[in-house]
Amino acid sequence: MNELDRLIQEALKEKPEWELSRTFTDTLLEKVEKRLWWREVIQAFAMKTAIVVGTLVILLIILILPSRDTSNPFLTLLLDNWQLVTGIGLLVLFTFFSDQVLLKYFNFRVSYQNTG
Amino acid sequence: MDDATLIAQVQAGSKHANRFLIEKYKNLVWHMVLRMVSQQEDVEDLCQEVFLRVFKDIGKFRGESKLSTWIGAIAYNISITYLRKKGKNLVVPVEDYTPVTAGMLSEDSADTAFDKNNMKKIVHQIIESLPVQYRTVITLFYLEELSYKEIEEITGMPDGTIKSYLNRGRQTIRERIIKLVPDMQPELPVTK
Repeated sequence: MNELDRLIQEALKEKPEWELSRTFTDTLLEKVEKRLWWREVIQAFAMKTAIVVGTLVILLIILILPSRDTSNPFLTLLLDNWQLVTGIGLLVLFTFFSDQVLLKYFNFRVSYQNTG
Repeated sequence: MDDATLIAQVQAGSKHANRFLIEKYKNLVWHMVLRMVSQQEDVEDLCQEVFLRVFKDIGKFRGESKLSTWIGAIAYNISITYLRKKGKNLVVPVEDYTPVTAGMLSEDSADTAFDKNNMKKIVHQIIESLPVQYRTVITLFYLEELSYKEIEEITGMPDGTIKSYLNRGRQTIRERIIKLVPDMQPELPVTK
């Protein structure tokens, strides 16, 4: 190998002059932690909601099924007041979301700022 | 810490393991993305994106390849996607590539008296002007000292193509240097 080849080889193995910022790892870890936290909280919320909604649906089916041939007073009540029922459902869902996600998020932010 | 232990700890949510993984592989990701993208302002964001993808998909890592090549493949794909979005032409077959012209390099490079450091600067400038596949393969082979097989796993290029890119890349760098600094030829005779 002549000197030209040797110099090319050396240059090819040389690391770039420009470097990653010193805070790269810390900034990235903060992002990773936040994303993982969000994923965990949202997954937990989705799972709990699914369990509650699933249970309610099963209960409704149990209540409606036995008297499906005749008019069901419970079903009639629900259908007649569907706007109120939907409103209450959404309100419960929002309260649950606030408790399970938003409150946890604010706590997480406060604790992160304190430790950071 | 070996890869299997590291992965298990990352999956278990250990912050120390997360930090260790970033520290261990940040240079590989950094070098790849920097050489492929060549736009310093976006490189750090892309490196972050690579690691965020690594942490998101680490559960899918089956251990069929080394962790370094798996991370390298993510870095490669993210950089390629970025370049595509920027509208850069990525497909340059080895035989179709026309080496850069002297005008593409800074004027200083050719005018400055030849010495070792200038020579290295010229080489780096030439590398930057090569097509992305050349830059990637050269970086992985020389800077990261990966084998052909590992480069194949990262880039998905066949073994023969990798060797062609390496040879053609080296040849281009050599030709360009001789063209730019003709005075150096007698001092540094080139053997065929």
